Amino acid sequence: MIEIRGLQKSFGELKVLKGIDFAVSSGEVVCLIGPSGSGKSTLLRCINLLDTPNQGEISLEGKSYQTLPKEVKELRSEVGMVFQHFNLFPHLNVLENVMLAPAKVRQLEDGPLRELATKLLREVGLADKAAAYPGNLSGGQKQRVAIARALAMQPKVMLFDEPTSALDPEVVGEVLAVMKQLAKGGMTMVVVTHEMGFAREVADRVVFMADGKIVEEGPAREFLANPQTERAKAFLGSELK
Amino acid sequence: MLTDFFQHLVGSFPALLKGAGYTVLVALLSMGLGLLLGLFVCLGKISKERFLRVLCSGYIDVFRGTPLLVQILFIYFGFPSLLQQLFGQPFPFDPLVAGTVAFTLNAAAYIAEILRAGISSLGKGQLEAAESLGLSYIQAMRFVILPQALRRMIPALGNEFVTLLKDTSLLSAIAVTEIVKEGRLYISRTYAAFPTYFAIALLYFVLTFIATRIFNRLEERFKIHD
Repeated sequence: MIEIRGLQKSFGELKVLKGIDFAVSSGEVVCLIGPSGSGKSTLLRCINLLDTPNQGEISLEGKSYQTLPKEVKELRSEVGMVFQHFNLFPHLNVLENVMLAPAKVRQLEDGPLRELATKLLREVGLADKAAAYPGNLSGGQKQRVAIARALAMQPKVMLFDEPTSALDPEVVGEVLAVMKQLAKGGMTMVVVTHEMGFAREVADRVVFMADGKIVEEGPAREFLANPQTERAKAFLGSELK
Repeated sequence: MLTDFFQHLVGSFPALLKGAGYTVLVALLSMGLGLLLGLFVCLGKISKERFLRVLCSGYIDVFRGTPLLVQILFIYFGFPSLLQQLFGQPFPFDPLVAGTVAFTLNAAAYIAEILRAGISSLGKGQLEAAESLGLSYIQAMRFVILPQALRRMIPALGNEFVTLLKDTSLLSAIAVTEIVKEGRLYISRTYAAFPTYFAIALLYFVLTFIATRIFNRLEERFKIHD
């Protein structure tokens, strides 16, 4: 589904990604874990070209994408993204947030689109909030709207950039529940997270990054129970405490 | 003495009101056109094209760095005289049009900066969210960034409009019969300087007072609850 080869990214002098090879197959749920500054968010943001790689190749379903505006736009419309800070559009209500992109990018008609948006809001448990504005929602509700908004583009892949890191502990569960349900439905997902429980339970594979490289990867349960490298052992040891 | 005062206050009013028509007309036109031009100047200044950035920064610097009165005189007297020298025939310029052009160009420079501040106050998360959904830069600007930035700009735009209203008095220098010019004409007929200037000040105050209230209403109406 996604294939990345030789990905390098620097911000000024700082090398954030030092040659990443990474692939995700259809229907797979991959969790990216690692210490802060390891480059996992940057890797995620390179997948839909929110950050432009300095080197390397990104392809989706066998099609390689360059950084031409038209191709970037096409790639992004196929890849959904959920941000740590939600980034809902505060001047639009919940339903309008969900409907904006499919209306403008896919030019869906209002009737079917409204149906789709309502269905998605029901799936994330927020059908009753369709007319509410983001400012009146809790963090957990905002993030669920953000997930529905990304799904409304009917993406082939969903990227999650620390989707629960900005949430109060008590609402983390409701967001993770929606993500689990999505994974069960067969969605291809790449999730940057510190939620080891979620990784263990939902992910097919865990990729551990440090210092801009993939250090170790493997099936979720095996990896988390029994990491091979010292770096991963140290990281998991500190996370579990 | 007092009856004299009120007599001239009332007597000058019809002429002043007529002048106020031009004042409001120029202010509204320049505000509207200035918003449009300011939008392009702002987008140019934040664009990735170095050439556009330099051009638009230069524009803003020039129009904010020189007196408005000089700009008005330059456009009304300077340009026609240059064209006349170049083409050997007179280029009459309607003072009202010249004034509106000058005010539009000037307002656009200030509005561009107001807009830029409004856009940068949103942070890059909004643009990223919009673009991550597949919206183009233009669509993201139009449907996500500008609607929010414009709402945040309303108070600053209100200030700009009030400034514009008051600065139209400078147009008396190029014989536009706005409030001040009308007042001076009245004074030249009656020598009633005190009551007339009092009436002029009062009229400007009423205009700016109304404009301020309208912008306060707009601000309330388009408030984003976040």
